[in-house]
Amino acid sequence: MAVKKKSPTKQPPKGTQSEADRLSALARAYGLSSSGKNITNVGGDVTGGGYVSSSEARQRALETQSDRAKAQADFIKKQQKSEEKFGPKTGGTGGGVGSTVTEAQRLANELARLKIQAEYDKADREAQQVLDDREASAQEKADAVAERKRKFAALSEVANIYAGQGAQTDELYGAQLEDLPARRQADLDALLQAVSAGRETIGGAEQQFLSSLVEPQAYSNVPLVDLSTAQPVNPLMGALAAEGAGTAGVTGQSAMDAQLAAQYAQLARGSAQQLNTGAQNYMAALRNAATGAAAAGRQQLGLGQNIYQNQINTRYSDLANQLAMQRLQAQQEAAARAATARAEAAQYGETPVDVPVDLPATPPPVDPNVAAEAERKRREREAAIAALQAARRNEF
Amino acid sequence: MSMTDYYGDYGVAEAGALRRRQRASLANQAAAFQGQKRGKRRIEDVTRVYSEGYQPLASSFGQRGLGGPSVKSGIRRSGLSRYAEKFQRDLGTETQAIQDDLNNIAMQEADQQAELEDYIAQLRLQKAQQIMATAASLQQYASY
Repeated sequence: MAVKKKSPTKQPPKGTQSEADRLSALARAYGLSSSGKNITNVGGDVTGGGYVSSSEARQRALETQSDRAKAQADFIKKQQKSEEKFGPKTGGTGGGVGSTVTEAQRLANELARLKIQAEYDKADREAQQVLDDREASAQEKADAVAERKRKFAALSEVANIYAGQGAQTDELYGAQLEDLPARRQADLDALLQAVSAGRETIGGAEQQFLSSLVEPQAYSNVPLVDLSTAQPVNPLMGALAAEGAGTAGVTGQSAMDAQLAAQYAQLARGSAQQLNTGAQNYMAALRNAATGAAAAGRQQLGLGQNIYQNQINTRYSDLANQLAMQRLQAQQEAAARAATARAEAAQYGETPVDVPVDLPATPPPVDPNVAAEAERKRREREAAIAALQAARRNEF
Repeated sequence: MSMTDYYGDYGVAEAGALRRRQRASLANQAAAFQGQKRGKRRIEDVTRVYSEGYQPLASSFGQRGLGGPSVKSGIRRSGLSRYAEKFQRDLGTETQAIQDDLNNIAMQEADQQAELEDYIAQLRLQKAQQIMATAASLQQYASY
């Protein structure tokens, strides 16, 4: 067996020097890692439409793999056409042995085919994974829909309860507000009755006291003794007079004694009279005190009636205001809670709410070269997708 | 002094005052009786003393030859006159003492009666004032 000249190392065409780098760059451009994993929006929300989902990310992965497969296929196809037209490349040496080159080309082709086969197998596995994930996401979606319906029903019930609370609040506070005037009038009537009863009590106490007062008699009939006119006739005096004793001294002494006795008796009577006058004045003072106390009591009753009447009116006005304010607050709170519950229920309603998703933004082209590069990537992506679909159809 | 002292005792204070007054009145009556009795006894004592002293006095004038059936001495007459005058003065003193005692007891009785009437009147006035103040206070509306 002739030793075949080893052909120089076949170099990939420009742009395929680092195929892995190129694919990695391509994958990053579409949000994938070099191993095909999604690096953005991993495990996104399951949605009934409008939500970012993991299936979308997986779809991107699938498309990326398709791009890579299409690129490989295009490269091999172009290489084969080039070899058919110009013969196998010799690595810049100007050609070589044809059979050796053919065999090398065949091996290269086989290697390329195996690579493509491996890529497609990998893409197939990932596609299957995507399908599995899609089924899982479908279940998740169903669960999410059921959860949304449950939350919608619960929040709607809460909203209905709060909406019905307005009528209950009206019934509760309305009855109290309607009852206030009657209660106020009852209090005013009770006050009037109390004032009337107080007046009667004061008048009764006054009359009872005045009727109990009697004219003071303690000093009006004091049994004072006046012994000036009751000089006893003593037989000894007669005997002494018979024996010749003079009567002038006796008469004088007797007269002086009588005068002193009369004077003391008069003094006592005058004292009693003065004391009697003082007692009458004192009783008059007591009578005036009772009358004055009764007048003061009546005045205080009148003043108290006005004060308490005003206080009753003020208190019931305050109560009415407080009740009205509390009712308004309760109604507003109930309405606010009902609105909040409705708003929360609306988030789980039949019409899903689109949640804005922060998708990776594609920067606008800044120059024609960048735009051309973007257009080339787009075509490569479409071609890769088509190749992947064809490969799946042909069970490549 | 609490309200109970006035009328919250349901008249006990007034009844007690009346009872004390009755006892005092009885004591005054007894004192007046005893005073009158003592005064009468003292007058009787004075009369007895002077009656018993008259004979010795008259005899003393006779022993000195200043008295007798036919003797009319000025000294004897003057002595008897002073004796009679002194006797009258003592009688007047005791009589005035009886009068003073009786009048003092009578005034004491009047004072105590007046004090009782004042006290009862004060009780009734304070009772009436308390009733009026309670009625005028409208305490049941103090919460407003």
